[in-house]
Amino acid sequence: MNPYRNNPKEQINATLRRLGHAQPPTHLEQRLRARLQEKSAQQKTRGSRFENVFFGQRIIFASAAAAVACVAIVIGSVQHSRQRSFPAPGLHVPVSGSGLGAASSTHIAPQPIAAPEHAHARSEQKADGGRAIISREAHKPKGVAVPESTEPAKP
Amino acid sequence: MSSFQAQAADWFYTQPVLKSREDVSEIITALVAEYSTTLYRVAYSVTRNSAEAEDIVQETFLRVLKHQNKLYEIRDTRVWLVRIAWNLSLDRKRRGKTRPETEDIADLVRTLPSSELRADEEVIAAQEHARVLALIDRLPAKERQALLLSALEELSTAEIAGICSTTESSIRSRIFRARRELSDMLSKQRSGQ
Repeated sequence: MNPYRNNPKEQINATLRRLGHAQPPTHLEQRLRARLQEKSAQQKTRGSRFENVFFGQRIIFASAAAAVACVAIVIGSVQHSRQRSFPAPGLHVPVSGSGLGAASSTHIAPQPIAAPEHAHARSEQKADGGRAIISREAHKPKGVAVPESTEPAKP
Repeated sequence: MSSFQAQAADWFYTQPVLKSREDVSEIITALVAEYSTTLYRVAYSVTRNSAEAEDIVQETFLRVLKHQNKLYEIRDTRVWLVRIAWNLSLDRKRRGKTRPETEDIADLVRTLPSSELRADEEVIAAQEHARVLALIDRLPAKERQALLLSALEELSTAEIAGICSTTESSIRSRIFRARRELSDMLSKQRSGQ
């Protein structure tokens, strides 16, 4: 017969009470102490062995690692500087191709350009009071429409 | 020895890290004597297997041994140890390594403390307890933790709150909810029978 049939709260309390008073196996403490001492002794011997092997040589390992790092840095920087190509002194004609170029890549003629005998500018501008004069006699390339002057023709 | 040297020596020997291994060993032995039963009950409430619970208690103290340098920084040792044991128990249960002894009624009768009931009554009561424990496993994790820890007389509500990293009022409401849900589930089971 169930002693808690009509009282679920009492049944919960009884179960929790049992759980809270669960008895550990006999000699639990002694067993725990023995195992902990064993583990502690193991750790001690392992730790001292590790210290003996490693602790004395720690400085040597650290120095060797630092030296290797320094050598690697020096070799890397030397190789990097050798791989860089410096432009030859004198004229530098940029390679045409991609169309993308730095602003400094100016085109320099391979030969000096001689100045014409009658040094005139390619075009002459004549201004009259700040206004450009469009004369009928002006040479215009064929096929270019020239607007008619609105001013009356001068005698 | 000058006063400066004396002060330096005093400082050196009072540093927690520099305590000797013998001191730490003594402290751990004292912790075993004081808390092994509580930790066993905590582990047993989760695993319901006495061998597993014993292993968990041992593992808890091994953790203490491993982190012995932190031992002097711990404010509440009981809360710290119970938290370790609880987490180890949950890990074990999650990995599915444990088999609750409550599945075997004979085991349960052997493990739990004997009462003044007759043998047949004891078996029936054990069956009923097994049923309640199965229902406890179905509760939400937080409520289950609060309920199981509240079963331990050694732990106050404040300590349970410390273990669960929450407030005392929250613990009280979790226990209340857990009991109510458990009661409802038991009533439903009975009405279904």
